[in-house]
Amino acid sequence: MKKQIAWILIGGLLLGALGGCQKKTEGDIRETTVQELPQGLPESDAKGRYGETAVELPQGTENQRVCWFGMGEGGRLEMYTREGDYYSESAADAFRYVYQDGAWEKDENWAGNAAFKEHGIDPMFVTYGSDGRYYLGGTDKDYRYHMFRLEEDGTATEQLKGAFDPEEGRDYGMLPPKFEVLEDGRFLIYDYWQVFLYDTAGNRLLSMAKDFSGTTSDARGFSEGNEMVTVLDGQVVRYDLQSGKVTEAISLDEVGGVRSSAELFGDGAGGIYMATEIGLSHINKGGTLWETLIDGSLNHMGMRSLQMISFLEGDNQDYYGVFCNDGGIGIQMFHYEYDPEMAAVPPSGITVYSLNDNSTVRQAASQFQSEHPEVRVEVRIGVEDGGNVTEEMIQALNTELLSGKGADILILDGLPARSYIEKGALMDISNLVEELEESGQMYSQLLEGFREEEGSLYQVPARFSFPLLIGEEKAVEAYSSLASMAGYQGEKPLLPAANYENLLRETANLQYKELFYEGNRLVDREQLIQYLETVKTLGDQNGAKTTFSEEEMERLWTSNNVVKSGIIESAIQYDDGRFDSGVAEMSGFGSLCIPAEVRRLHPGTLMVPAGDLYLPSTVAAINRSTANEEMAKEFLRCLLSYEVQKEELYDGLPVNRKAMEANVENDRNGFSMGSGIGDYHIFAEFPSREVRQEVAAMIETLAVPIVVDETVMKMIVDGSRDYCDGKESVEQAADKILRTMTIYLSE
Amino acid sequence: MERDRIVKQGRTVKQGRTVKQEGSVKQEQLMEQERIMEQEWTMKQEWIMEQGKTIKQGRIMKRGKTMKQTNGLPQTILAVACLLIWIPLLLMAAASLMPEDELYWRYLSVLELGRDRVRAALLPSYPSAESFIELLIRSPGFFVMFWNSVFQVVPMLAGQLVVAAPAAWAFARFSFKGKRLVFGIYVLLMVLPFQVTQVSNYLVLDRIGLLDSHLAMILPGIWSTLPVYIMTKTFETIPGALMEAAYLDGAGEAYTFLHVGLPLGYPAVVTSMMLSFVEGWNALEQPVTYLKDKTLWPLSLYLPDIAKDKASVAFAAALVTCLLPVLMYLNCQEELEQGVAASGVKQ
Amino acid sequence: MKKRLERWRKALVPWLFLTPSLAGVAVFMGFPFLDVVKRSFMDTMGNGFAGFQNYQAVLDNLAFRLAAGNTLGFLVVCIPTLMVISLGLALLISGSAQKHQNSAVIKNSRTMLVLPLAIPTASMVLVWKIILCRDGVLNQVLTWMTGKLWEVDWAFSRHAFPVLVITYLWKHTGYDMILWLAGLQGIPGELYEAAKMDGAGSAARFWYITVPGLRGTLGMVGILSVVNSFRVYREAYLLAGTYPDSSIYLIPHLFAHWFLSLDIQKMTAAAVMMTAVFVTPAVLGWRIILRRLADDGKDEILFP
Repeated sequence: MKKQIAWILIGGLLLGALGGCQKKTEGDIRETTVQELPQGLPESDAKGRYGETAVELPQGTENQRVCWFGMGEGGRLEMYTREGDYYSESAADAFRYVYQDGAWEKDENWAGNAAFKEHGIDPMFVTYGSDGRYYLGGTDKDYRYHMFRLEEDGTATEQLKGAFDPEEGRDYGMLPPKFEVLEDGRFLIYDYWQVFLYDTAGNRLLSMAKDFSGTTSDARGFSEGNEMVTVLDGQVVRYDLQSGKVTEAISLDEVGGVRSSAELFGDGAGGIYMATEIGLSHINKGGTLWETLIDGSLNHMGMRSLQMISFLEGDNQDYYGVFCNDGGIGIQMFHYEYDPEMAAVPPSGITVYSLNDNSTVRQAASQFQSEHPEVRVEVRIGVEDGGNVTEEMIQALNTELLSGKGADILILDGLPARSYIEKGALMDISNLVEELEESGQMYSQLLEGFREEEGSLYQVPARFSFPLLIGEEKAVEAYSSLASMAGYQGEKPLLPAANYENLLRETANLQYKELFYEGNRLVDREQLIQYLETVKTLGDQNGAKTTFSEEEMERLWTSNNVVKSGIIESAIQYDDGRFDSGVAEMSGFGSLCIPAEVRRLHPGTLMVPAGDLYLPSTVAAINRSTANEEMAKEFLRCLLSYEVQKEELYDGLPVNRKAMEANVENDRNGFSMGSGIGDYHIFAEFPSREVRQEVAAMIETLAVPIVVDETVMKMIVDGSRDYCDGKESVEQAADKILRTMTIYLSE
Repeated sequence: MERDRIVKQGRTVKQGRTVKQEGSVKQEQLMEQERIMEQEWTMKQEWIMEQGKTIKQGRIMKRGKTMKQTNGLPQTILAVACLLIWIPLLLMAAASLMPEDELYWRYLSVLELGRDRVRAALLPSYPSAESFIELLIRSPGFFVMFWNSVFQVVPMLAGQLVVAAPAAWAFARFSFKGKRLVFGIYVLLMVLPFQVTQVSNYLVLDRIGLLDSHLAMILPGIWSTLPVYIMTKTFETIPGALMEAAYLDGAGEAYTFLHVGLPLGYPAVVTSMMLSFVEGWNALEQPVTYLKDKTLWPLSLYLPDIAKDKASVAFAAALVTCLLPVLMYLNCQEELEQGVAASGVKQ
Repeated sequence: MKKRLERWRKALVPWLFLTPSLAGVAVFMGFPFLDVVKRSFMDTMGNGFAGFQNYQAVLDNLAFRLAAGNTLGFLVVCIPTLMVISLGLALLISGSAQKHQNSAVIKNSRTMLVLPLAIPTASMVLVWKIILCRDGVLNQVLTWMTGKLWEVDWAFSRHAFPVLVITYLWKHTGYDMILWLAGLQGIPGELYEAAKMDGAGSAARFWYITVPGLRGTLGMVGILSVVNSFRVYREAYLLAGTYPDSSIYLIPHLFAHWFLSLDIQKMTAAAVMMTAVFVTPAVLGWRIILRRLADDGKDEILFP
């Protein structure tokens, strides 16, 4: 009996599991090829792939933003732009460009700009409706949205008047990133969380839910006939515009899940295209299988610094993509055409391994591939976001290295770099680095920080950040040594509260030279005790704990999270006046907003680097047993080149001086940051040019990379927990730590 | 055959009468032995047939049913042991049925999200199948990995059966030159931890070109020496007399193995398969090392990949993961219970 | 001629049975093992010959000595305990199975006891933390019993050793029990009945029938328990971190760390020595002892 039940259950389990896959297989069968298009992943010697060519844009668009890009009257490509700055006093100018015979031409006679001006509207959006009319959208001086139809005679008549006004009790009205006009003149308004259907009289007919990506330009969706397609609950859904009901939901799992920057568009036959940074995928009507047409990792689609604005199908099974740089300006346009002679997969390739995803590496990979179309750069990521790094993963990587295999380029962040160097797994790249330094472009001293004693150089950081100390002179000076930190006597505690693990890490980083420089000095019992006592003294002053309760976290503005970089942002706690100093991690001018603002608010406050310390990241190295040495070196050159380094990818500062200078020059007026807890608020604009220059100059003084041995840090954190909780003496804790540390060091 | 040889020996040995006499004595003994054995062999065959019949009829042979049930102590001890084993399992099952809020409320410290008293519970206060729905319906990756596991483990077991059982038979039933050495090497290979041979294994698989395919998991698994060892040890306990009888009946080696050895050694084979199954199902290092392509990853790698904030899904996944091995075990239980013991043969 | 052929045939038969296994084992296990031995005499990246340097380095290594000692201690405590407990349970089950056919406890206990084997370690560790962490169940129970506040982080304290032993026993008792049960079933039931008729008590029956009958299984359970004990590492490191309390710093910890730091030459040298230590007594010593023990002097028994 029991046996029968077991068999039944096994059968059930297998059937259930089969059911999970069934959906997919069904789709497989149902999938009838509407178009003869190349399959996703062909054989290595197969030919045929979509090639990418840049489309030259008309002069004057360098500082403009795209309002719309699409098929206009007569099926011609049109692009509408506006002047770059959103925050000028008066309404900006808008422009119309028409693509004809392979070139863009400015339409000097376009009536739209005059129409915008006449109504005092700052242009946001232009579109060509299915009813064959042009529509304009923009905001008035009160930041209310208005929509107009451009009439034949060049005048504009307002549509859906009042539909965008704020609802009762709200400050802001609807600011739709886009709208569409149906054949019968009805309107589809894409808001952040909904898409609304209005009739011509301004009555709201339907409200259909959609996902919001978090950016105000999120307009994922399109309509075709009587259907509207958008993203909901992480799936692509089809709405029926009669009933407003979801008629179909399509999983995105096989194309890597939902992306915030997806462009959806139709194929005219009910099928759906989706363009994202991973490429262009297509699904037929009724199908469940996505087909990859363009691999985004081989061209600009995958480039991290670019934002996709629009993507659409041309007349000839070709595609156009329009992108901009972060911040919305710097338009780039590419044309994707199927080339039957091009190798389906680039004939040669190099592999880059990184434990965690890394934007700069991705950027360099895209850049490298657009410079070398015959080379494929494969970026292998150990842990997808959210996953845990396990020993098995590093062991798997080591197995490859020991077998003389493995990626050509290793990003050493999180990997046992010291061992790799000692065991001879990495290539000496000092020649390469010297060659780069001779160009005068690099911050040599940052690269030199990794030079070994005997003169060789195995690793080079592609990004870095550095700690900034904020406070009055007396407080800032206290950071000069462990002793002075412990002995600081001020009105208020030196540092804001943090959990002890963070406090231990922060102190270890800021006193790196005393504790770790040229070897681990914590093996010395006296030194270890001094370190632990310093942390405990600081903690006793500011109310640190090993773990906080909810109430404490709120009261002390802290959390139980561990900050791996070891620098806990605390400029606002200083600003609030509870502590005598704060620390910030300078990893880009965006991150400088608040510290710079805090200093401005408190005259007499200094903002200085913590000695000559910096935190390297994206540390790259070449596998010694690579078969593609020259190409790997070329990739490192690309990674450190001005083109890659100048992009702000929010993962650190450039080590390329020229790129840093470009960043200093880049006035990002639109960028601002706010922060607040409880009643406290701070709002900061992008730092001024003077401040940017001042902080960039600090980089010249940095020379010592903070490379704390994570294993040792973990031991100290674990071993000192009872001491920090006040349950044992510092000697006991030190001995406990030393016991494990001795084992570690004797391995 | 054996008898012939000894008899002839007796005749040809020059030393005369005593030996000859010994020979004849042996002859008599042997004939007697043969008689007994033949008897036993028929008994055995009958038993096997009967066994087959009883299984078909769905009846389990029951012995000593009439004995009075007096001793409750063993039951108590077993019950306590089961309880000790099961408390952790119940804690897990309960956790898998908790909604996220309750899980955080109870196990904040365990998930290392903060410090609060652990409020352990064998039953959830607000039972919810949320985590199972999340796992079984919203994560198709789970099913892909489930099937990968099946594709990797089932062929491996089949292969083991084909390869390891005959080898074990050879070790258990024959004496031949070099046996001790070869068996010694088998044991030695079994004892080495995976880490040690990881790099070398990788090199071999790379050379053969098996990396990044299901075969990278299947082939080394088939030739694991552990099943050979377990089966050898059990085959050794099958009374030798039965084999001899089979040979005397004119059965070939292959026939003896298939029709006497395997049926009698069935529990051992099942035991070793069970253990291999569990091991293959929960393998961690091998897939991480041999399979770069994550679409080939088995279920065992699903769990370490789940982040802390999905703890209830992790518990649910653990339960679903171990469901198949447990069901397989329940299935094989009867086979495991039927031992050689019932054969009715005295050694 | 025919005789010779016959002899050849006879000598060939075992090899025919063995070849499929042997061929694969040579490729997938044998070759890697030889490579391991080779690596133990080379430097890390496998470029230069290092002689016995690696062996010397391992023997001089403080961490290795500590780990080897701890591992030995762990085995000495764990293996006998595990074997005794699992044998006891196996005897209870097989003994009672005949007496109490209808008892649900007996019927199901076998399955229940084996279940821990199938549970993935990663999730099991969370359950252990429920019990063992500072705010966990064990401390709450102790606080309630003694009236004094207990806040011991069991897995990280010097009590880590017993904690590890218990998790190991918890997981593997079922495994060994299955093996014992298979062994017990190999003992003909008639022997017991005959002995009973001869008036032997249960103790005598155990001593004179069960114990000799389980001799073969004993060795197997022992060896497999040792093999399994290397797997306790995953529990250890998920529960107590990569560098745990020095009392549970075991050989697998050291191997893992050597692997992480590419010290594969040390790892292979240590592994070769370990196997030597394990196999030598097995080949030489135990056989002699067993010969003496085994009344029939069965030659085939290589390992107990």
